[in-house]
Amino acid sequence: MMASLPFRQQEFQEEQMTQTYLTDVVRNAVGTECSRTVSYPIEASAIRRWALAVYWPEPAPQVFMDAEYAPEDFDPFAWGPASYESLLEGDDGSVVVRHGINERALGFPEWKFRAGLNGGMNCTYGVRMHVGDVITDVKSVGEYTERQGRNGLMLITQSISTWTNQQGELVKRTVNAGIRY
Amino acid sequence: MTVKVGDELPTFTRETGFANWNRYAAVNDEFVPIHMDDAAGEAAGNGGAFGMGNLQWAYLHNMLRSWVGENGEILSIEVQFRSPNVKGQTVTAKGVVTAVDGDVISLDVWTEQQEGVKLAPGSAKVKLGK
Amino acid sequence: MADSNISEAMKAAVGTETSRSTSYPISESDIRKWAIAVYWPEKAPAVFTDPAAAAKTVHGRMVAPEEFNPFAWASAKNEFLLTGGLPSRMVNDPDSSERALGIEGPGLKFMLNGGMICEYGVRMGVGDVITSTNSIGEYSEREGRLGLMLFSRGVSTWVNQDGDMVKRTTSTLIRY
Repeated sequence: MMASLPFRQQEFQEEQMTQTYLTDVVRNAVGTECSRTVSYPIEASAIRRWALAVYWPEPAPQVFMDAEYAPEDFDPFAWGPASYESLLEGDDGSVVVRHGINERALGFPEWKFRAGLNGGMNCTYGVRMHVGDVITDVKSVGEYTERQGRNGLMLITQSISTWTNQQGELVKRTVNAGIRY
Repeated sequence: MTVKVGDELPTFTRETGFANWNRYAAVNDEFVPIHMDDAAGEAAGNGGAFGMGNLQWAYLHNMLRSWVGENGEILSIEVQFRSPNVKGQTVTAKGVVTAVDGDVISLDVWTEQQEGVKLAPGSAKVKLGK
Repeated sequence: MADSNISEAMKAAVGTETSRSTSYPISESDIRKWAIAVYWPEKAPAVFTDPAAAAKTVHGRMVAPEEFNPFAWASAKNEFLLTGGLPSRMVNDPDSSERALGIEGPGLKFMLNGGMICEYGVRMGVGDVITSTNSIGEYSEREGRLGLMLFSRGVSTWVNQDGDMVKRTTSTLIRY
């Protein structure tokens, strides 16, 4: 019960219950494209190594050892992209945010959280990746919502990652969900 | 560059631990329990997980490569792994010229931890770039 | 020496060619990732990550760091040159050399990398296919910090697709 908590903790809990994360800046950011990352051309050895790692300790399927195409979950940006640029005004791109979006560069408030959780991933696949392909990843802001939970007010976010190949074909669209409180 | 016996090479230094051991394991496919797991490293008599000798080997090459320059050559190198690269160490690769024979330079090379204890002593022969 | 771990069969095996491996063609990304790992957390020299920078060097192409391993993760072909021997089914098997020879190993539990001597020939570069031939080197033993230590050596000779020597390595394994 609230009355029985130490004074500081009670104050913190009340603070958490009354604020909102969804300021105008945050609400208006939905759909904003934040960064463009381009991969090196995909090489056979990278496909092979990925497949060996994800199938270990069993052998990888021959189709991947022959690098006919890459496993859907293959990441051509592992170990570094060929280039990275921020699409946000005033952001020189010196801070590379690999797995999300640069909230600071978007002008979002400087929230302080106790914890962050991976809320899951949802992928839609287009064409397969092949040796020689150059993949472009454009990251954009998805829906930001909030709800009260056991741990106080929780911010639930989506960042969207859209991958296309050098022919402009869709390779993959991922919605990454995050939960912070 | 005029080289003489006793010249000390510019050093190559890294703080070591799982961050670099794991990266090296990933490129060399060297996933060995003693380098990944404290219980396995302790069972092998080294107090916990420790780094692979091959990474010390790479650091020695990095040091020599920088000194010989893009046009130089590392001709040969030998090393023994005497003391383990355990957690919390700062490793420095060092070299000293022991002989100059035309354009072939002989060196003592070694890696040592932050207190000067040698981890991997050895020797090398190089040719400097023109 | 009492309790020697070196059998007559092991002594007789010195010099035997045991296996040959052929690498997949070396790729730019293999070289780049290796260089990133061994220079981490600093950036690797551009000669190992940028083909344009590499083309301007004396090599005229992207070459790998001397200690690069083109056999990591997978080889295009692995041949065992001995009959009666078996590839080790165990990961990190201390007796893998003797097993390849088809003889009984000393069955020691622990192993350590005892050091390496390498002589370098020509550089490895993008597109090269490397063939490695392994043979058994000398055995020796002595009392050490961790008990009676067995020193065994393997010799590995690497040549490229043109038959040029890339590297000759003598590796020492310590078992106790």
